Amino acid sequence: MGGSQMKGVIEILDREGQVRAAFKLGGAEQGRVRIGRSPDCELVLDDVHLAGEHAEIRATESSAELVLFPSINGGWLGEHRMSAGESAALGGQALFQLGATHLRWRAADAPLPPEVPLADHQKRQAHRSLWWLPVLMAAWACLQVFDFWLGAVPDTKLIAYAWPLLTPVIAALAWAGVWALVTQLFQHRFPFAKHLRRVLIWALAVSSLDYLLPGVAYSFGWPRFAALSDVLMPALFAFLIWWHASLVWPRVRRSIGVGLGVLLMVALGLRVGQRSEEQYLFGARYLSALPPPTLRLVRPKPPEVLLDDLRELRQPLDKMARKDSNAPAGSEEEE
Amino acid sequence: MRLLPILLLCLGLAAKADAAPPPPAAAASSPQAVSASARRIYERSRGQLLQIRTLLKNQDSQASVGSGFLVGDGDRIITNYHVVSQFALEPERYRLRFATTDGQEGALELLDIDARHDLAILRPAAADAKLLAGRGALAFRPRGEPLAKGERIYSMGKPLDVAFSIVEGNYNGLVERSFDPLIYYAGSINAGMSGGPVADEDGRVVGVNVSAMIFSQQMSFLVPGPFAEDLYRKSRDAKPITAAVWPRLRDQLMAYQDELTKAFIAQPWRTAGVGPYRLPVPQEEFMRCWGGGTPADTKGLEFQRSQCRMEHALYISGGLQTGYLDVQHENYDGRKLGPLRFAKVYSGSFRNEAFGSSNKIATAPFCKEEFVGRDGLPLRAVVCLSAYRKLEGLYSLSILVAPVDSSVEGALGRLNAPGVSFDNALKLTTHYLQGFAWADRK
Repeated sequence: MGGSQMKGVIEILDREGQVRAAFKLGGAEQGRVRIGRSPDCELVLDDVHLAGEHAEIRATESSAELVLFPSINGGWLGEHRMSAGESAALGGQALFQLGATHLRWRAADAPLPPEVPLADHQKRQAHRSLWWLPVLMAAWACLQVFDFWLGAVPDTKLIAYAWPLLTPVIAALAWAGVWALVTQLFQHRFPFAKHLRRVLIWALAVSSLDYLLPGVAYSFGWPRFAALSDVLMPALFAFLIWWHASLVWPRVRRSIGVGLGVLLMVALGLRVGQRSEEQYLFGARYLSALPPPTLRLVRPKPPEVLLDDLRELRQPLDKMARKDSNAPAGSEEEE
Repeated sequence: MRLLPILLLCLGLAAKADAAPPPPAAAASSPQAVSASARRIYERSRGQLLQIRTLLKNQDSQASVGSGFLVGDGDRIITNYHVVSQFALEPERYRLRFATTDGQEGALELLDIDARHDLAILRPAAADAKLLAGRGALAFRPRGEPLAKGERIYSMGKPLDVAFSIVEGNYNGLVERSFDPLIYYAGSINAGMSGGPVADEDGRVVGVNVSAMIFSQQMSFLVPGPFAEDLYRKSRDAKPITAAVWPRLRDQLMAYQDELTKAFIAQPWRTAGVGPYRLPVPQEEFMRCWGGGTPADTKGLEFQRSQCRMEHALYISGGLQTGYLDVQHENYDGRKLGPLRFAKVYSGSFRNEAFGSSNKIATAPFCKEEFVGRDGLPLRAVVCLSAYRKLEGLYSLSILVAPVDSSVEGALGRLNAPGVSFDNALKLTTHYLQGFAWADRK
């Protein structure tokens, strides 16, 4: 009989479903593998929820079955509860639980699942240089200083720059720290620099857009161009969350992207709904940026052009005025 | 139950009097200040003096109170429009009643309104006409006998629903820089006296109590008597109003804004000679101007501000005062700031302008904006209009203009004209833009 019974592997899984150890069947144990805490067992597990001899796997030439011995906790085959004395066929592959331990049976002739490619963070790589970190930090800090300088009166003391400079820098560090902690929770690593890089790049891009959008709108005389920021900024925020989340949960980043996309659409939809009585669904009523005159690339028009534009407002205004005039009148203030 | 609100009101008044320096007219309430002639005039007029109450249609609780007086053959009553405006705008929710000085009460019917002069004419309902019969009426002082400055006049009414009163004051001429004539009255008129008569020494009506001077506090203004007399003549036999008066208000406002816009546009702009620009500043014929600026030793932006506006607006409802003009500007000198910092402050000022929002009264503002050239001076101009929902064809106009030729100097001009027609909004826009130019290219 020896050597002719079915071969296979019993895998011991950790809480996240990863294989922690594997026990190969088909050697000297003659088709019987007892599982439990007792030294007499072929497969010894250090699980206090197991009996000394908790269960057994019996392999014949063509099949394998799981037999449970008397115990308090019994076991499960898949979702099926098994108690002492019960037995069940294992087939080519089966997940089962004894006590608190998750195990998997994999017969030698069952097809192997394909090899899973490594996620980026799992690849060994040379230590990455961190030269970009001071560069990005410096850029971010400079932008803060510039922002504060713009709004300050001449001869402002240097010490006044401290908080406007430190607050955004601390905010970026804290944000990256929180994401690194979340990553620690799920991946047991702390990629602080990676999260910091992402948030700094994002913040620099968003701050530049803050200048760029109204600047372009002004230069070319396209006031509505600045309204793009009302759509872009929420979208960019969703992107930032996705960017961080894809470091934490790389295998489901597509689903996270879809989820965030749906949330973004809902948020934008709500905004549109709230502004149904406004002239524009997005953006400010008018372009308020007045940058230095060299940025203006269009020639001023005669006042008549503006008057002609104004005439176009009459119809939509009258329509809007009629639309809500049937709304129930609330109570007047009493004098 | 009734006493509590009155008590609170009195407390409120007392608190007010404590906070502000006591007005000279406060003496009118002390016994020795009530002269013999005030007593005589009150005795003579008390029969014609009425309280006008606005009550909820199906309840006896009063929504507002004012005063009024009998005119003509003693069967017509003059009061303020704002005293009866709740009924006028929602006749299905409110009703009007009168109360005489001797405690008689009856129903009233509204015959006509004059929103421009804040007047209304009423008559007793047929069933209650007998309560007012035989009381006579107050006569108007003839137009050919103008009052002299300083003459004693007597304002009557029922302030705060407390008691019928007479307040002695002085005629101080017409309010200067007012589009429509208003009498400046040195005496204290309280809420609830609105609509009451103001009589001369002979008991003849020279004006009607009104306090709807929107932008001034602690001043009392009167509607000159002739406007009330005109309304009486025009509408004494009008049919009672049973539907909301919006169409009538619209017509009256339409005529008023036409007259006002014409008069305003006919005036040339004055020149404000500060900085490199000529900015539109209106004549002070019916507007009043105020100015201000930064201290000379300021380190940052230096600016000067000017605001000219009409102080008298038309009262339409508790939430709507309209029909006035407001022109303001600020000039900025940012040479100490440099171009980048100036751009930030300049943009901030340009952004920091409110245009209102969508509500029951008007739509949200709809705007157009453009770079506009005025004699070679490039301007950024934003024009916003919102439409009044119940006053079809009337709009609230706001224009915002900033010169954009200099990197360290600028100005921000704004014109507000609530309650104008679309055509007049366009005319005012043209007129306003014409007020901007280079200072040295006159």
